[in-house]
Amino acid sequence: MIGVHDLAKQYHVGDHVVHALKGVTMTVAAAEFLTIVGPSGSGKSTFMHILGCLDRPTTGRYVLNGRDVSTLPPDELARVRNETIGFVFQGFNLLARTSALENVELPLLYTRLGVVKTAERRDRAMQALEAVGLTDRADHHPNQLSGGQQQRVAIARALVTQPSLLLADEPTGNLDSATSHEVMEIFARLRSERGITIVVITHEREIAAYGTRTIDFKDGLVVSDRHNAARATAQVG
Amino acid sequence: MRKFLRHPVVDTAIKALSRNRLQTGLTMLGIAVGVATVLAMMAVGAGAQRSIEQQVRAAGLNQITIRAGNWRPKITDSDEAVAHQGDAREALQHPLHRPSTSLRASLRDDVLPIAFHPEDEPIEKHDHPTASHRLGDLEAGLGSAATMTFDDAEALRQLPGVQYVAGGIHENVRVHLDQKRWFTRMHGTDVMMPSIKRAWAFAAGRFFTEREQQRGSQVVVLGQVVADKLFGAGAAAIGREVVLWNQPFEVIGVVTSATWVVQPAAGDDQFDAVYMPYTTTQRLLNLSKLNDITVTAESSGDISRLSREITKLLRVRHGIGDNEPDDFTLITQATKALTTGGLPPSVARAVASNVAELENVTLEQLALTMERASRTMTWLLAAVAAVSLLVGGIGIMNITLLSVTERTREIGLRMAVGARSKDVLRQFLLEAVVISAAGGLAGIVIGVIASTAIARTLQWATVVSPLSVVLAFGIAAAVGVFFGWYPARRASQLDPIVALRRE
Repeated sequence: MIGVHDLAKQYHVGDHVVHALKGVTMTVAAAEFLTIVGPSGSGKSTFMHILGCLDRPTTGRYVLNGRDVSTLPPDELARVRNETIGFVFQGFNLLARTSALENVELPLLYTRLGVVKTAERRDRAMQALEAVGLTDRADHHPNQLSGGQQQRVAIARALVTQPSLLLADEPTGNLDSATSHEVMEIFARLRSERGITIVVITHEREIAAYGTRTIDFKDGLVVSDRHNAARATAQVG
Repeated sequence: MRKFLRHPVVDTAIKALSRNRLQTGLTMLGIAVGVATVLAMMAVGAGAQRSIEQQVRAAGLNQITIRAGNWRPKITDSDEAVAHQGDAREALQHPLHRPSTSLRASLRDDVLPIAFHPEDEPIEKHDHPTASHRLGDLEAGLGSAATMTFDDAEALRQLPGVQYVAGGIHENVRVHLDQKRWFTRMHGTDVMMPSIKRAWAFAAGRFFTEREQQRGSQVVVLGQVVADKLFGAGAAAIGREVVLWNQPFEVIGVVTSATWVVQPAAGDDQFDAVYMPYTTTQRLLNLSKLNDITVTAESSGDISRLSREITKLLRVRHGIGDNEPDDFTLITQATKALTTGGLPPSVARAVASNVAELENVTLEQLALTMERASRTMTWLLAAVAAVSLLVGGIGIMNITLLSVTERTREIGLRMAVGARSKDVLRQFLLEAVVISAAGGLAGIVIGVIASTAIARTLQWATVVSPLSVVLAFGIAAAVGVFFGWYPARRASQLDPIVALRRE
C-alpha cells in the first residue's frame, strides 16, 4: 500500500534550514491501522502531509499503490488526493452554513470526470453518511451538530470518493473522551469492513492503542515501530 | 439559467457572496453606477452626434433648389457678366425693404403695416390675365420670369442620382381661425417634402397624401409656430378648420423640428409656415407655374455633377440658346453659405459659379468638424465614466480579497479533497464576475432610465444603442475578470497545508 524510502523534508525558515524529516523508511500494508505518536515538532505532521500528497518530500521516494507519487506535479497530486486519499482534521473543517449532505458532497465536485451529477452526488453522500450513522442529520448545518457528529460528517466526506487510504490528523483532539472512542470505533470498523488503510496521528496513548500498529516519531525519525494485536476492540468491547 | 444557477460552482459563488451581503451589495452598486454612467454618457454623446448629423442633413447638404428666373450672370460669357452684374445686384433688394409709399396709401385698416405685401389678397388682386405669370414675392423682385413647370419637375425626376423632387409655390398668407389671424408663409409643395426635410417631426397628424395632392384638396399642415399662435400651445388642431384666401382648409398635421439644434421660431421659413399640396395652390390662385423645384441628390458628393446635368436639361427644355443666360437659378448649400456670409455678393457669386465641388469644402467640412467635436466629447464623457468603473473594479478586487482571506481554510480544505489550483482560480474569478455581471445588469437598467430622464428633462437627445449596452456589459464583465484575477490567483496559489492551518 504505502512504501517510503529514505524520506526527508527540509524547510527554509529565514536563514535557517529546518530538518522536519531526516530519512524515514517504512512500509504500510493494505488494511493496516497505523497510529502515529510523538511530541510536537517531531515530524509526524510533515510525514502525514507527504503521505496525504499535500506536500512533496525534499528527497526520498514515496510509492502509493505501486505508483511513485513523490515527484508528481500539483494537479496530479490533487487527483491522487481526490481519488485515493480521505482526510479527517482535528478542527473538522466543515463549511459553515452548508448542510451536512453538501459538506459530504464536496469532493465529488472535483473528480477526474468533472462535477458528479446532482442526483448521483446525493446518493453517494447519503451512503457515506449512512456509514457513519448520520442519515437523519443530512440537512443539519455544522452549528446544529455536536462535535462528535461534526467529526462523523467529516469522516463521511473523507469516505465519499471511496478512498483506499484514510488520514486523520488528531481527529479526537477537539472531542471529549467518550466521543473520541466513538470516532476511533468508526475508523476500526472501516478498516475491518472495507479494508481501508488508516493512519491516525494522536498524542493520546489510549487512542493510539486502537491501531494495529503504532510508530513513534522523534526529531524527524521513527524511533519505535510495534504491532499491538487486537487491543482496540478488546478495550472497548 | 436555473440549471446554471444550481451548478455547484455557481451555487458556491452565490452562497459565498450572500454571506457578505452588505459588502456584495455595495460593490455591485459601485459597478452599477459605473456602467450606468458609461451608458448614459455614451447615450448623450451619441445623441449629440446624431442631432448634428440630422442638422447637417436638414441644412440640405444634398439639396439643390432651382428657382425660376435668374439674377446671376452667366458664367461662360465673363465680359458681359460683369456688365450684367450691376443690374442684378440692384434687383436683389427685397421688395419688402423697398419704400413704396403708393402701396402704403392703399393699406386697409386691418392690415399690419409691418407685414404688408402686395399679394396679401392674392385672389382679389391677381385675378387678371397675367396672374398665371405671377411669381412669389421674393422672386418677383428679382427680374425673373415664370418659366418652371410641373413637367420640368417630372423631367428632373428622371435624372440619375436624383433622390426626391418637389415643386413649390410660395406665398405670404394670412391664416384665419375665427377672429384670430396669423400672417405667415404658405408653401404649396409636393408630398415628397417630409422626405427632403429630414429634420421634420410631426407633433400631431400627418403630411398630405398623394391622393389629396392629385385632387387639390383643401388640406393644410401647420408649422408648429402657426399652430401655437392660432390654437394655443399644446391644443389640438387636427381636424379643425382654418381659412386662407376666404377658403376653408382642414388642418391635417402640425410639423415641428426633430432636433434640439433647431427650435421653431416666429419668422422662420419652416415652422412659421403652412404647407398644402401645390395643386391646391395652383387651383385656388389660378397658377400654372412653379416658383421653384427642390431636388435632393442620393449622395451629397454628387451635387456638382447633378447641378451641371440639371442646368443642361433645363436649358434644353426651355429652348435657351448657347449665348443666352439661364432663365433659372441653381442654389446649393455651397452657394447659399457663400452668399449669406460676409463676402460681397458679387465675389460670392463669382466663386460659387466657378468653383466646382464647392459644397465639398464648405458644409461637408463643417459637418466633419462638428462630428469630430462631438465624437471627442463622447469619448471624453466615456473616459469620465470609465474612471467610475475603475473605482468599481477596485471595489471588486477588495471584496474578492476579503473573501479569499476569510475563506483560506475553506480553500485549503477544497484543495485537500482534490480541487486543483485552476478549480480554485475559477471559483473566485466566478465570484468576481457574478458581482460585476449583476452590477452591470443593474447598471444597464439605471443607465437606460437615466438616459431617458436626461432626454425628457433637459430636452437633450440621447441614443442608447444596442452596441453601447453590449459594450457597457462587456466592460463590466471585463472589470470583474480583471480585478478578480489577482485575488483569485492568490487563492489558487495557496499552499494547502498553510491554508488549512490558518485560523
